[in-house]
Formats: sequence, structure tokens, C-alpha cells
Amino acid sequence: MPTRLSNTRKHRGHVSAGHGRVGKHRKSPGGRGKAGGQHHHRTNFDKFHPGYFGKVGMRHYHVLPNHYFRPTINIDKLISLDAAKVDAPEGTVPVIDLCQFGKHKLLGKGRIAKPFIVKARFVSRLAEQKIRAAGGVVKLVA
Amino acid sequence: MVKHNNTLAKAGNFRKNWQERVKTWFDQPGRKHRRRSARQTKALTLGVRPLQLLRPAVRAPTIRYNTKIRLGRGFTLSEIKQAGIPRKEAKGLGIVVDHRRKARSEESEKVNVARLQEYRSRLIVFPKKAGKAKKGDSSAEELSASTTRQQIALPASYVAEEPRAITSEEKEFDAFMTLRKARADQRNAGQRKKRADAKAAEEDAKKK
Repeated sequence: MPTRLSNTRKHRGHVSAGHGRVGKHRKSPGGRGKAGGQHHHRTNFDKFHPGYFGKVGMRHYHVLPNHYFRPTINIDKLISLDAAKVDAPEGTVPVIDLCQFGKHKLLGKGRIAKPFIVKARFVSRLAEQKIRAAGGVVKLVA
Repeated sequence: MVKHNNTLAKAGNFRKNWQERVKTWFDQPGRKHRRRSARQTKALTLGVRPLQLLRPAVRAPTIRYNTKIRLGRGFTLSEIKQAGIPRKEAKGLGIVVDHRRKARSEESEKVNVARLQEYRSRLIVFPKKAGKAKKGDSSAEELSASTTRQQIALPASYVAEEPRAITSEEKEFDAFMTLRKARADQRNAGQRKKRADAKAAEEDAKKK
């Protein structure tokens, strides 16, 4: 764009070029970035970002997440596993090993109608109750 | 002044010299080709010997990965001993020995001994001088038999159990309470021991 069409041309000769004599057009009058969260911008921080300052909880030195690895599965998902779909002759019950599916703990959400022998590393009280009510059992494996 | 949208300023708005920090993989296909041709030349120089050394089947560590079976570094001393292979001979046969590893269970040891024995049975020993077979060398028909470079497969990490009837033992077993109890036992072990020790000490004092 040629200079002659620019709006700046109209501001030439007018003292503060539209930016005011009192406030002035300075670079960052409130500080840059997150400056002043506990001082001159406190109200804004307290109002819109509660909990921004401070710490919560305890230190945990040398966390090894693998030791806490415990993916869960709910009982309503059991019938969709491959091990549950096998044909069980009369008097037998399919055996589902959850570890094989990468699941360690069995939880009790949903309903279950078919009996299964479920092998898991961990189980919740409700899950075991529901499995038993359906005629199955839970077995603990290492 | 803050921006009037009440969000916090992002920290990552600096212009980093990111081009310097990027790792490219443009040589990946080239590398693949290089590795492949290196393997082929190695195979040519090796004759009928296997491409890779024989390594044990081990379970991956930590509760997260211990459902998997992979190749370990080397066989334990006890494993090669059970398979009847002297330690120094093992090196000549292309078997890796790791003097630090220990088999933690009988089952895992058995698997690796079987692995060694299978490897041994597949082995063909050529006479040093052609036509003059010494003791321990393979017979002539074995020498001319077709060979394979196929590695001995790792054992399956999991064998699916067939549908079966529920045993009465399983019926009575309460998994949740067993877990609860085990956890409680572990938590209270110290306290219980302390109490038992104090009681024993008290009784000792009474006797005196």
C-alpha cells in the first residue's frame, strides 16, 4: 500500500496521534506476561484463576509409575472380550484372564448375566458380588 | 496491563530456534537399506551359521510388563550347566552366557534349558578337514541335510484356558476379602510384631 493512503498520514501534525496526552501509548504499562499476579493484577488473578498460587499435596520422591500401573475394566465390558465368546459346553464356564487383555483390576459398573471364571490381579467388592450373583467366580492371579 | 480476556499469558510465546532442535528421520529408509545389506553380507560370510546369537527367553520386569516374554541378554550359568554345555564351549556355539542373571523360578529355568537343548539338537558340527570326521562331528547325511537360519521361537507368553467347570474351592474363595486381608496384614505387620515382642519380653520378665 502506498504511504499516501495510510491512515497514519492523517495523524501527522496532531500532537499524540490519537493515543492521548494522559494515558500515553507506552509499550506495556501493566508489565509483560503474567506480571503482578499478587500485586497490581491481584483482583483479576483471584477472580478468574483461583488456586493459581501455592502448592497442594505431598512430595513423592522417585515416583515409579509402573508400580502403580493398574488399568481397570468394568464387568459390563467382559462379554465383549474374545475369551468370553468361546463356546462353553454344558456344565462349563469360559475363563477370562484380564491380564492378557492388559487389564489388572475388575470394577463393578453395569450388569452381567452370564457366568465367567474371571482371573484378575485386583477386584472390587461390587464387581465380585455381581460376578457371583451371575454364577461366576473371581480368581486372583499374580 | 493484562489482556482483557482474563486468560493467563502463555509461557511458550517465545521464538525459539526450533530448526536447530529438530531431529529428522530422513535417513530412515536409507538406514533400513544399509542394515539389510549388512545382514546379507554377514549371512554370506557366516556360511550356515545362524545370524544371531542364541539368547534366553525372559519375562520383562515390573508388574506393568511382566506378562510379556522377550529375549534376554544371556543364559545363566546354571541353565547352561543343566543343558550340559560347558561355559567356554557355549561361546563357540553362539550361545550367550550372562554370569549375572539368575533364574528366579523353576519354570523359567526349564524353558531356557529346553531352548538350549533344542538349539543343541539342531546343531550340525562340520569336520575340520572335509571327509575326515572326528568324534562329535555330525554324520554325512546330517551335513548334507537342509539347514535353517530360523531362530528358535520364543515360548507363548500366555496359554488360553479352556472353558471348565467351577470348582467348589473357587466358589468359596473370596477374592476381595483376600486382597483386603493381605493389604491389612502388610500394613499391620510391624505393629503386630512390636506387640508380640513386647508380650514376649513381659513374660520373660515375669519368669525372672
